[in-house]
Amino acid sequence: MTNAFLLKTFASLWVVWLTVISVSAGERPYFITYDQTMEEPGNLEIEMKGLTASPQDGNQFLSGVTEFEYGAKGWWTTEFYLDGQTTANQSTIFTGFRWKNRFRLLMHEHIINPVFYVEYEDINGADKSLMEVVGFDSQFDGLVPNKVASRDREREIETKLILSSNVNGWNVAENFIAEKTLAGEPWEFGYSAAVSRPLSLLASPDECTLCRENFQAGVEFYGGLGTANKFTVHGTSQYIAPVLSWQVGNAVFKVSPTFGLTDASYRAMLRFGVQYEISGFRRKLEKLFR
Amino acid sequence: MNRRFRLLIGQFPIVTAAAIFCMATFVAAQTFRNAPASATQVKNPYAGDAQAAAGGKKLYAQNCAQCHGNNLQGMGPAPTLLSPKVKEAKPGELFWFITNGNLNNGMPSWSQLPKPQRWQIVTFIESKNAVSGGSQ
Repeated sequence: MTNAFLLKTFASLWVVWLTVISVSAGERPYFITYDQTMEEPGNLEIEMKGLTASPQDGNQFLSGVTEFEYGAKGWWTTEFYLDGQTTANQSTIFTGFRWKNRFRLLMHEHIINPVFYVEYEDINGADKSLMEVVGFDSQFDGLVPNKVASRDREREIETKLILSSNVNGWNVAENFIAEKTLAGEPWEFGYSAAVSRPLSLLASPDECTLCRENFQAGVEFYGGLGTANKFTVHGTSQYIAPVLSWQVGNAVFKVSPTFGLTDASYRAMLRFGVQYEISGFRRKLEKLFR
Repeated sequence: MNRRFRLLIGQFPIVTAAAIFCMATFVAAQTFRNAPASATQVKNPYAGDAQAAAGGKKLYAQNCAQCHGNNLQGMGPAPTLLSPKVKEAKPGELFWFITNGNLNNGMPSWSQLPKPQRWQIVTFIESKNAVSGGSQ
């Protein structure tokens, strides 16, 4: 069943790729970490991200996230996410939505570029997208059956301070995460950090698929940092994840095998994604209603 | 009253000359899109390199053409890149503007592109302006 579902997912991603319109170069390969890059004003980027893992003593699952990212201003990007997951021998369910906003704090490029991020999420306990790891999030959370976990609704506010630098073709980004449930539980903290670089800094003169400049490689680190009551790394999940992106024509494919470093972490996960961008989305929409 | 008026009239040429001098100095000191003066000194490492310009053409098509048009003619609020202003801009100023953008006015920052690729775009824009004479 899981294999069939994976096959369907990849087939859908392939169809999405065929309908791709335009994607800008220089898209980072990260899944979790944000850098200072904002969506171009008026453009809409649609991205599908998947994650699959087999928890110890649990059922294999595949979570899917569909992201709509819109460049409202040069300094403001807004994103809307729809989350869902399927767990083998259980069910396939919609787990909730997220609304994220990123604001560039400085209008010019600096050695370190700060971005403020704020998110409202309304998801249930069965969500397995692991878009961030905070507090004492652990693989054992995923052992609760969908039927039970989905009854637990979580409304949360999440903030991030994103710091990002571009140096000699390398991007270095650090995200500091603070998340609070509206139910009044203590603040939870987490982090992610990443570094990446295109395989070639120069663009070749010819159109090509396998040119080195079409690939970006890097590594992400992320994990929880406990809560306001217990700020610690003991008992938290910690991950290391090599990342690779490949721009093929107008599409970008991303993949990231992820490895857990602590007992609370999933031992191994696989993230994958495909994204495309509708250039001049705002202009096209305006034309439609003129 | 008359004497005061005559004094004012007498000073008029001096005041006008001073105003013209100030404006001329201001215009001369103005850089392309308010790039810092240091940007004017930066040289394009790929100036005149046809291979780099070809790579820049590809990058332009991927990143810039959606707003500035396939032929740099400009589209909607995005201006033409074949204007005398762009032709007269120093390579370092163009590089600075591509890197920083003008976030309040719709031009994104392209700092996510590696430095050499931003220079390739500058090289391509300069090569197009050299051909067109920047007359459009």
